[in-house]
Amino acid sequence: MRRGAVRAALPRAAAVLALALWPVGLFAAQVADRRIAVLPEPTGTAVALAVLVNAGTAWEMEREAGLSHLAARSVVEEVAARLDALGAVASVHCDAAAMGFTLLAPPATWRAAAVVFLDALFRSSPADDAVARARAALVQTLSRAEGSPAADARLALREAHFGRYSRWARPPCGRAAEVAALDAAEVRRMLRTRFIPARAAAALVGPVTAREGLEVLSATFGDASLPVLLPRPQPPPRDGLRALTQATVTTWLGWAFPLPAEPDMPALELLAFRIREAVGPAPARPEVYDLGVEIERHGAGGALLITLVIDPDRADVWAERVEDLIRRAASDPLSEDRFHETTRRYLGHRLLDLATPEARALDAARQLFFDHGHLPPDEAVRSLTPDRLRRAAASLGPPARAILAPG
Amino acid sequence: MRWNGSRLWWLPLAAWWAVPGSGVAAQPRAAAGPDAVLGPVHVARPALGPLVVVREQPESRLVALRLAVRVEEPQGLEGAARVVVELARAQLEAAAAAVGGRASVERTTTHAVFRVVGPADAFERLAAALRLAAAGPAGADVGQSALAAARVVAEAQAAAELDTPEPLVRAKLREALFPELGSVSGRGVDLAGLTAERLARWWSATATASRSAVVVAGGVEAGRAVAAFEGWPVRAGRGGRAGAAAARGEGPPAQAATPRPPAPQVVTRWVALGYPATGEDPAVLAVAAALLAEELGQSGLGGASAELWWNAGRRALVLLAPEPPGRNGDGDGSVRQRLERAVAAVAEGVDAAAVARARRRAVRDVLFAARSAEGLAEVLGTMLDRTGEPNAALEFVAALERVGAHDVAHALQALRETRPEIAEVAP
Repeated sequence: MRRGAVRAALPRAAAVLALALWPVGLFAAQVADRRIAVLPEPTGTAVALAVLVNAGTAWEMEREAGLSHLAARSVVEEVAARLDALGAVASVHCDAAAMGFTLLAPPATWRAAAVVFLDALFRSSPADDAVARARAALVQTLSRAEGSPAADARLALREAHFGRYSRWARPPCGRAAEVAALDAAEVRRMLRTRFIPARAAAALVGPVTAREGLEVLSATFGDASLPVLLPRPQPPPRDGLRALTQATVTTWLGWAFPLPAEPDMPALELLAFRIREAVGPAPARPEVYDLGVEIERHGAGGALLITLVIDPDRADVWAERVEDLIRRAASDPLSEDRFHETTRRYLGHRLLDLATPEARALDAARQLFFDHGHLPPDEAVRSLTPDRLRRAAASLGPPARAILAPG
Repeated sequence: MRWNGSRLWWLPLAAWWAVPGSGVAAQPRAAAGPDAVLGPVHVARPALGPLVVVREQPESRLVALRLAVRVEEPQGLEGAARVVVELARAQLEAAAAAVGGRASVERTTTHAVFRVVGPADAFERLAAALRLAAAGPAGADVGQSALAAARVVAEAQAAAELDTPEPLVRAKLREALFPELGSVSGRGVDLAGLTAERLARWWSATATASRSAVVVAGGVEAGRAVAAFEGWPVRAGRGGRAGAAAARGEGPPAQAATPRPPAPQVVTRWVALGYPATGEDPAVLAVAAALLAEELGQSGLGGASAELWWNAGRRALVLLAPEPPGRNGDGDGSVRQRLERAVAAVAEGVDAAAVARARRRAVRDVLFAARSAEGLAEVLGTMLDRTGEPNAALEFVAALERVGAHDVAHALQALRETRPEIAEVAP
């Protein structure tokens, strides 16, 4: 018992010692460990904390789809009033391989808010009424989304990619029917077993010093030198095909291009941007109604997910166009001039995506969670080359496809 | 400015301008202490240029620019500022998109506002695009088709505002509380007679340096920001009779400028109460509005809001609500009486804890609204438009922090003794 207590105290003592010995000059810059980072922004007007927890659909049984999401929302519901008293707000972000949280607080109260929030996340159990409120709100949200062509098309693409009976093929944020049947005891069990600091990454952004930021994070995360071990889908993703018909007036096309085990994320994000520019809705492309391009991560890879909503008469043409775009990106590097113009626009878009401190904190936490390090957006973009973009496109595996067409 | 749970509650429904402060310096200077959360800001007026207010954020890779031109539309030119901003929209958006940024334009109650945000290292390109946009039709080769398209958009915006109950009741109350302000919408006046020449002449006389202000927030040094606005393309006060006449809209008469009174398709009755509160501190009124909004939320009056409307010259505490279905608008349970009862309940029940909570939220909402470069420029610019003071936003936050329960109780008691202006729209 006593040895256990000493062992538990060691990481914290090591962190305090490291802080005491840290050269003062380094505190002006970003400080990052394998799983925690502090990005001081002295002129900011709000402080954001993002935490990614290694929990989600991969650890849920069939009948408990959405338990991780409900647990995350219950934590926020439990602590919302105390945070509000400090002028802070917390929210949940649901990913397939992780549950994300962001906390936004005024500079004057961020420290107290972060302590309250981290304590609620990792050390306390939400009360029954907090779980009930979270469940009611989540069921309502999921019910609204389910049954729409968009939800069905996304689900079909996951089934084509992971296999129909894989737990990864389920909606990552849960299903209303299963969530409605979950109780507070199951939520507390999930929190005890999956929501633990050793399986989480965190980033703090705003008008804080690296020293005080690290003090707060280290008190919770202790020794953050070991990376999060990420779950891998079993069996591995495949190039399947799912075709559905429904009473719609549009056609939904979906692709899931598998990523390699160690993806070049900055280059793949640029590729995603190129696809958005080339395929997205525009006055010159009136037949394109909507486009979604995102990169989903899991252990040993992930997928570039593309969904295109299109005039049914033009679906074949655009299906070929999208795949041809990826093929050409993998074989022919862009000219230097075109690459320069594209990256200039991409950097602007990326910076706008990260315009708020909570967006920057969540982005940094995701990088720490999946890639065990953090690279600011401008450095990441400036390090890109035409050949890196080509190689990233070439690293994609053969895609799984889904189509939802008018029946 | 609306307090309805949105983080932008305090941003003005309209940005009301006062005469800019006379103490602006030729060189950038800090306008507030370094401990101010939203500041310090640097203030300068470059040679022949507009007022430039800069909040440096060295760690930011973004920069946001917001240019506001104070507008007064004389009779016969109502709605002209909307046409000007619509003419600028396409080129400003394209210039921003070329560097991965974004742009927007807006006609507020008092200003024509041009906004652009993008990478800080593209600052000069963004500033040049903003200057070109603000140069207006005089600085661009306006074709008849472009003018016609902008006019159609402007007329559609005006019609939408006058054809929807809530904006309409707001417009009516604004006219009662702030009669010196014109109508943004032009009350549906037909702009068909507006020619490019007439528009250019009016805008050239309107968008002078002395009526314009730029706010820059983000990763750009103050000196660089100020230098970008030297040699303002819109001449500083052409002066003389011709300029003054153009500003008044004199010149060749518009063709067939036929007033077209609005005919709103109202299906819901709306009531708005505005308590004139010019003598009260805006920070105290903002906290009072927050408490009233809380009270209205608990009263079950769906869609109700409590807001502070203010500029340098006038202030008002405003309550608005739609009539619940099935009510006839009269009697004890009328919306008007419920709004008045909310004011009485808050005035009689003010306590320190509730005021502290409302104050914290009010400060929080301003800080959160300013957490991006774009939001910060909007916060600083909106308060500048409203008061004419470059550091008004900083002072407002500081004043909010000082508001106590006694201040709020005193202000609300004073308002209860005031006769409110009332505006209604009904089916």
